[in-house]
Amino acid sequence: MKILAPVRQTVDHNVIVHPGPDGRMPDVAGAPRAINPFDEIALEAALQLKERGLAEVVVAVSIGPEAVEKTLRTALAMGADEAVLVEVPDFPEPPDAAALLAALAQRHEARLVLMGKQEIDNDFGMTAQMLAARLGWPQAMFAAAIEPAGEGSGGEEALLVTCERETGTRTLRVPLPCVIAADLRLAQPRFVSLANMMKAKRKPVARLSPQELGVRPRRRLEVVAVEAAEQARAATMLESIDELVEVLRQRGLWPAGGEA
Amino acid sequence: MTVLVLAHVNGARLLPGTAHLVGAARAFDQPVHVLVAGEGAREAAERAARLDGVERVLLADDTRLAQQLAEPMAVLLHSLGAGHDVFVGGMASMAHREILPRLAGLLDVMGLSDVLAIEDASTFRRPAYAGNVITTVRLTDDGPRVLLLRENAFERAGEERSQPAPVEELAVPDDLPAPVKVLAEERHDDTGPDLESARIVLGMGRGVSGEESREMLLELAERLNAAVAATRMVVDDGLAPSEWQVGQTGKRIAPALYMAFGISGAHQHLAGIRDAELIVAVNTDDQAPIFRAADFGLVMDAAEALRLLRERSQTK
Repeated sequence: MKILAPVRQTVDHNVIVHPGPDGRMPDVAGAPRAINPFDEIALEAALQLKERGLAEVVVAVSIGPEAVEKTLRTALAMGADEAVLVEVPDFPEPPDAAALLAALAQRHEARLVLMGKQEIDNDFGMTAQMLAARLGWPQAMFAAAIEPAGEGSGGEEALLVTCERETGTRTLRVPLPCVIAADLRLAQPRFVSLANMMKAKRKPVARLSPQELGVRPRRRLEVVAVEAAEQARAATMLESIDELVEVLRQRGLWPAGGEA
Repeated sequence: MTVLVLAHVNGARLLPGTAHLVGAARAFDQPVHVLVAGEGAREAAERAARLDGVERVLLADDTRLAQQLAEPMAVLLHSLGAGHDVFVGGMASMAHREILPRLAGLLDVMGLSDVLAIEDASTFRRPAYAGNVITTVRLTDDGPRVLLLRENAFERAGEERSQPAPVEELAVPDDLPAPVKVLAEERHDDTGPDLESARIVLGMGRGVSGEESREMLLELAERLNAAVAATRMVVDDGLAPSEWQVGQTGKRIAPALYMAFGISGAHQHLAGIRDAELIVAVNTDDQAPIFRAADFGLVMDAAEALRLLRERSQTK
């Protein structure tokens, strides 16, 4: 089985972002960039499936400007077998990202796409579901664990995917091919050694244009204005627990007198 | 043009988020229909029919819809597409977050998540960068709108109408796909209120993740009928289940009161508590960023504060 592992490049999650001047989107050109944390978890899970003998090849793919090559090098250093860069000047919106990934999944005859549940800059959280819809494949979102399911009665292959729910988890039997979107608990990304990082520098990165994949990306969303989230609250400092209890009591947020 | 609201249902129960979605949908100034999909969901449909502003309730009762799985649900919504130009769901439901983007994929349109405000039929406000910025965005295509709203950002529709809206039972298409099977569901034994709807939430940071202070926190939570939240670090350390995680990569909550115990205030965590009405922070470090995000602060060992609060809640 071949796994496609999309790795989106985002601003490093430790960077605090502020609106740009004149209400524009934040200027993040100079900010440190990294692999989207949820995609990193998904890639780790893909590599673990391979190490358990459940997959043969993991293809990492990143869509974006030339600079996403760095993210692909990280994916190779983690252990991806192949890397594909789809070069577009801007990071595509989810419908185009889904269209490009669908074309890549077909081109590589992937049976599983394993990606993050959301990207931490735009926080859309939609690409995996759109991709599954486009391919006509089932989806398993918010995955926390993946196990083989064995063959079904009709000989179809499937995976058992445990997914996060509001109040717990549920385990799904998902036939292949499918799209799985990683949540936090799915895997703990491995440490990348310097030696592997150096080795990854010499590995090939295949390049494709959107045209070669039959997609013409376009914007469907226009940013009209950007503002800072409401100003920080400046805490009134209290001196004691009794003051705190009083503050809560006045607001009806503390059990009234007489109650246990 | 009509707006189709996907109801939050659990079996026969209509969940409260639905009233917020209906309240929000009225901003389009168009007839509002509510789709109640599930198995044995007539009671939920009749509840939905009493919400102010609902013109019609569509009831899809079918065993393939019982689990709210995305594959059949998205196809069902797609089959209702003609005549509905806006599809509305809510962020509080993980099922909605699975279904509506899949519907957007079937429709080949851009969808929007985390919508905080509806300015007009094409213009919406939503956060980005973990809530550090609020963007106003415009959809430039004409096609249908697929929106996931933050329920608590919208007023809920009332339930005072004298005459309920008609409930129309849909003929569910025969060819609904159902490739995915639910094999098991595991509820975390958590008897307290739900984190996302609790009026009071107590936050557990590294400062109180030890066994003794954790017990005190849980006990205080029980006394205050509060839910418990945790930071990513505490969850990563395996000291709290991941459903407790609040922040950029966890849940976003909007309780009347959030009390942060031993939480330094990494922006990862702050992104999830921004919408709380009142934030109180207890931390030993008077320079901790949490104090800049809180309304009231107390510089004190958080475990000691928990001990005292527990005492006060017993005696008063």
